[in-house]
Amino acid sequence: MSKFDAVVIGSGTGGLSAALSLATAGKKVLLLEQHNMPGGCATSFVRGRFEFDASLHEFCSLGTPGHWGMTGKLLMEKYKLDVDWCFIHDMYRCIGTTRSGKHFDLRLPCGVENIIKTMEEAVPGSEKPMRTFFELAQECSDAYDYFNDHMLDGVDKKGYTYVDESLFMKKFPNFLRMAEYPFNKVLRKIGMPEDAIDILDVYWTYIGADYEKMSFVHQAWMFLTYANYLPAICTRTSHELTMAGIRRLHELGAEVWLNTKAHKVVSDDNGKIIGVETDAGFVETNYVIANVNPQTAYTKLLDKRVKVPEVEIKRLNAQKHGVRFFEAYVGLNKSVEELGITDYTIFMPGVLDNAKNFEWSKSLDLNTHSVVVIYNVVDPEASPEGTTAMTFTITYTEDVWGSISQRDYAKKKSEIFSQVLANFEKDTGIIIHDCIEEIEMASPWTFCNFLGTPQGTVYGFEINEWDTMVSRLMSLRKEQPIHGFKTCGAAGARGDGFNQTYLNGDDIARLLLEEMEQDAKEGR
Amino acid sequence: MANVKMSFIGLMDMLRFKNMKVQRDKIIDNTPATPLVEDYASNLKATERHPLSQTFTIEDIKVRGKGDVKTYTLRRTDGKDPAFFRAGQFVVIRQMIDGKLIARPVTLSCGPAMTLEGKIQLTVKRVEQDAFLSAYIHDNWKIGDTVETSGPQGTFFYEPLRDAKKVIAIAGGSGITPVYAMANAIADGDEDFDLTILYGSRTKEDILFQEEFDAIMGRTDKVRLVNVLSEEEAEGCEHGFITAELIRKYAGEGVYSMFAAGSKGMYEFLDGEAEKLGLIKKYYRKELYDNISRPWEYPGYPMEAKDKVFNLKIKMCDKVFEIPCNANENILVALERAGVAGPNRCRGGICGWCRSRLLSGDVFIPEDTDGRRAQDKLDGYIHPCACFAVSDLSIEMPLKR
Repeated sequence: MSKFDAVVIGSGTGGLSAALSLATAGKKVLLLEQHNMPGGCATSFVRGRFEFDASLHEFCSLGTPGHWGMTGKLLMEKYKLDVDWCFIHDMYRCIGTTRSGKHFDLRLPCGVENIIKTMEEAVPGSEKPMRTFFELAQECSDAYDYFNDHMLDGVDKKGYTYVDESLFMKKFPNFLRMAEYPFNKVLRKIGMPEDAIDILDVYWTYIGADYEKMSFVHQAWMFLTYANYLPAICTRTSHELTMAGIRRLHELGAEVWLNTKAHKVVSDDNGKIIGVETDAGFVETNYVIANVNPQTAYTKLLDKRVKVPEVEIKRLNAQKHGVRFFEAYVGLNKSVEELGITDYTIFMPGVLDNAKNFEWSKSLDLNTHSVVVIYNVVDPEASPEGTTAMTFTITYTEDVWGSISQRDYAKKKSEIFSQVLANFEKDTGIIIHDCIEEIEMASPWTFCNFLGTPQGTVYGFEINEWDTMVSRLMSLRKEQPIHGFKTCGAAGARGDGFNQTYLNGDDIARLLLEEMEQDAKEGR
Repeated sequence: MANVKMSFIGLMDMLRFKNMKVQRDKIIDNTPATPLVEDYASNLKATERHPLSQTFTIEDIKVRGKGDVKTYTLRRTDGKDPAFFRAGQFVVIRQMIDGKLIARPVTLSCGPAMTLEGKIQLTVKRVEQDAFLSAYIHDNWKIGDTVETSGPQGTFFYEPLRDAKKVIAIAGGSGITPVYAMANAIADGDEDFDLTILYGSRTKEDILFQEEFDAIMGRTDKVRLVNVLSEEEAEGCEHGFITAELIRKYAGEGVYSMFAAGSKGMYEFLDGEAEKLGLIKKYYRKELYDNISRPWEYPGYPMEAKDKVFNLKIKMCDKVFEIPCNANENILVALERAGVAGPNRCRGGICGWCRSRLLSGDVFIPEDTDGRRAQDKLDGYIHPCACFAVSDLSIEMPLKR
């Protein structure tokens, strides 16, 4: 029988990060993956002469060599991963009509001054509030960095993460003021013109939130890190990032078992974790991290002898499942030069109206808000010479795909993509429907199949007015109450995105390491 | 520095911050502790569509052609509908033979609508060289037996967003099965395109599904069948090979997609004809051919490896074992012979289910079936179904379940 210091279930970004964190700390780690491919969402697939990234995965706080941001420090300095990063120099282009009825087709470059200039040209009167916005965003970002560095230092009397209030009052007063106010409310407070608000809200699908309700800090931090650090992707799709992690785990002496499903996290009669039942037999361990939605972990994975506190069940009932996607991966037999494509990310919401977009995202038929990413714009070798690889994404905030019949499913996918394609051609004037050489479409069913998440959600739990990243992080320790068993991933405190799940995997691994150390000290 | 107060008294904002986590806990505490939902509608639909395994009972067997082809009608044993599929897809039959699990992809030779009656059909041609499975099926499968397959797999199907509305399908011998499935799907209203089939057989006696095609053509005018016989002349049939000239004759004017399903030999010939026709990749799609073999026929093969038997060391989770590996057969066949094959699906180098990590040694990978990811090529991963040992090898494999 095999025995490990810790077992990580699921090699998605959160699980891979947790395994790397534990192995870096010198632990003997087993990483289990039910599929024959590691990576979860961070994977790719081949169709004809194209290799498509399964995910849209711009890292926001990676940073650049020599100036690594929060995530760059983790991946490149702590984990020592070897990755060929590809940096993107524009934030996005967005095409649509704002609530005031004005049509915009705007390309937002990276760099704070560039953004302010572009916004002032597009929406006169926005320069001053944009400067205030960036000042606030910078303070929030600095505060978040500080908070992040000290998050695990200790807890207060009630079990919440300890925050040195006098220090925050002195250094980051605006962070304390802004943290729990909605993004749009803060923008209005600082006098941002409504057209500018509509343009800044276009990132909403990256967090899957309604910006009339979502915390200012989360969006401001993400926006600023994209603006300052440049969005980053991997040269050879996100599979490259996953394989960099797997190679590093092998170097650190960890085991990675593929096509090996974990059926049960087993406890003794007292609820103490004693191992994992897997397809390859029983594996002995006292410490498990599951890169699994806690709802799935509690209903399907964890031994019923482990008592899950009632408050955990209440929490999971209170939290709302985050967004799910329709994706179309398209390979064109023409180059971006031939087609006149110059933008990496294009948001095409039709109307630039976050509230309306969010409302429509609850419907199958009304929802035509898409974002397209065109890899060859930033990486000429993203597909063979003379071709283009691109991905379209539609975001749903409800389980609307659950009502489709097996027989109508394929037709529905084609129908939805035809509409998105028509909108793309109308918005950009670029005709691509006659040069599609390969196409694959993924729906929430696909994500259910590969990820096994509730409703096929990719983003864990919705970030909203009461369930914010900061308040979740304040409760980080309280919400991992089972000794020796933790969950990580997009359903964790930091929410969705590779950036966040890598950080969350490390957070959770560090909590587990504390428990291991404590147990060793107490001779358990 | 900006000093923005949200409420009239800035300190209230601070209090709000302090209270937020408490507020959140109040909302959680006021939520009922009803048992958590285990599965949602989308999760259940996804499991129906992509089952890891399906068990069937053989309901009917029909002998076709010269007796070397049999169609098996299979009913899901649990009474559920088999997974719905796209016409042209296959399932992998998983059969224990002499204590070893042998797997082979077999095209679904029916329209997807048949799944709504609880059944599917598979058509198997007896191939003597492929001693593993087709002969076993012909000799052993009988009505009432239980059969296990994967869910539907493969990308050889009509895609309206990519393919021309007019499709010329070229089928050779038992390669007719995916095309026959497509014709059914059109007649049933599950696919919508114009399908002209150029069906190559040796003699009239070898033609499969003629009666069924006649019935389909009675139901829809979108399907047309042209028999092309290579070894005899017959009334109403074309004679000879399926050449560019013949394709042009039936394709007529305008843009069309060409779908090809047959043997490796047929594809080699057809590739030349496609070039004469000026067909671009978008409009020329080929079904995979079964079991990549005879590596020495591919360019770049190191001939000194031919006929040798190498030692293959395998790490699979916490187990290590060694097996012989015949250089003339692909590595997945060696694994099957030893009864240790892990997951696999397409047997054509493309799907990546058998993906394994090469720890040491050298392999030969035919270029035209190398479906590996770019990073995997750099990291030394291989698809055993599409590569051959040219030295002693050591590999790490995904678990055989």
